[in-house]
Amino acid sequence: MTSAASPSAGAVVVVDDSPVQRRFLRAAVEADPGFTVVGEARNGKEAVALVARLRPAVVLMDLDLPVMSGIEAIERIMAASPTPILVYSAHVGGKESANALEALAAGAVDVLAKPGPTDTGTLDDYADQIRKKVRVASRVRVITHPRGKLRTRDTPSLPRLGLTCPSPRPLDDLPVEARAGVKLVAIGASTGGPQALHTLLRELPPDLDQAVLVVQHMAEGFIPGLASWLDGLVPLPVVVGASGQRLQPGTVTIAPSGANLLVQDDRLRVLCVDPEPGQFHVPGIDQCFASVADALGPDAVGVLLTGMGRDGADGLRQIRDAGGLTIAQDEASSVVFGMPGEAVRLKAACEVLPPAAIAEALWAVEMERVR
Amino acid sequence: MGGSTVAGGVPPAVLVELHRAFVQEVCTRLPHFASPDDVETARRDAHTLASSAWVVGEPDIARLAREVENTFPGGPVDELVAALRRVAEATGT
Repeated sequence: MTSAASPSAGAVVVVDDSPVQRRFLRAAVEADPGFTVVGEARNGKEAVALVARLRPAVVLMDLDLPVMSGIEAIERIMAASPTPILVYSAHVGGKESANALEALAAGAVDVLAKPGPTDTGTLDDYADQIRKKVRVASRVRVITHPRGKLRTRDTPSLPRLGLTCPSPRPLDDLPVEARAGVKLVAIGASTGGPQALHTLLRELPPDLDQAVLVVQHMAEGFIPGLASWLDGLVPLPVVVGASGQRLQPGTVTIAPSGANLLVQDDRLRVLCVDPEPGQFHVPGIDQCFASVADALGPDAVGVLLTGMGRDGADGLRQIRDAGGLTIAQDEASSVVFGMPGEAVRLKAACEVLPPAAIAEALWAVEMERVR
Repeated sequence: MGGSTVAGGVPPAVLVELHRAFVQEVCTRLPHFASPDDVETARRDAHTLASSAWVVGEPDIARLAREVENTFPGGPVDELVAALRRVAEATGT
């Protein structure tokens, strides 16, 4: 092994305390001629040192590690040697799911469910999934996380907005034109989304009058964990959506896995619809945004956050064309400026802002409603 | 990697190596279930074995290990230990 000062193209470091997993991951990764496993670590501490020395293009890391946990290792790597980290976790529900989401907040770019007793797929299926994720992760430009992770911030007790309540900041200072009549804020996100969502949603007032709908690209099974994780961190309740329900004002609803979540009407009834064959991302952001544009027109706000690819850009354009306010996350704060960048290219975004400023813009919408 | 592959993915030579690594892993972790002084270590071992057993095509062990992980020190510890011993003995380890 040789040390390198800058990331080595195609170089992968594997981190797992199990020799079986390390051998399997090496085989899975190296079946793609563009990638080579240049180092293996058995615990988080070894991983931090190895990544600093080898500067791989991608790190494949388990979370349940001895000596130093996967979460702490991610924090340290992202603070000292920012590298795309692909987490693979054995459990997609319960405690492990929360850990995986914590890993995303710490800067990991994606999560892959480790196979287990109930899996019906084959080893080859899983190896194929790993290769796809590694290819995507290798193209992600990551940024330093100086704090290592986003720590749970004390959520300020915000006043109920209304005619008699003071504004948290003067309307004139707010970054976008405030609009009345907005019923729904639809947010799409992919790689880097959980931490952007956390930053955005934690700034919203606890008694927001609009419903918030989130479509986050995420491995099957992680959505309930994402909802639970965000629910513990942001002022608004966060739930997983279901077909036939109505989105509730002041509640963040996350689209479930496996189907497109479409808004049916201006009463905010939603329906889960099977994707078309070949649809790459499910749930699709474009499909959801298009339905939002149709159902609500100018009474919707569309927000497209960090993510690879272009899902959501066309849909955001449809919301804008229907008269809705549209916002894309800016490049500096995006883990991947793919989707929001495409929205900018299509002139789909009225504003381009970092997540905290997007929250301020939504405050402005709220203020305009209650004025 | 050279050699033919199983369903276009993992070569047979690698599968042999995986089995060898699994046996090594079983031998390392087995004592932690036989005399569980450290509950956390035993749970972690069960967690690891559940995934490893799936990788090497031992679904029954994977299922038992996951159950032990979730219920330790209760659960089917004896069944898991017996199954792991069979794996170790089958290779003469």
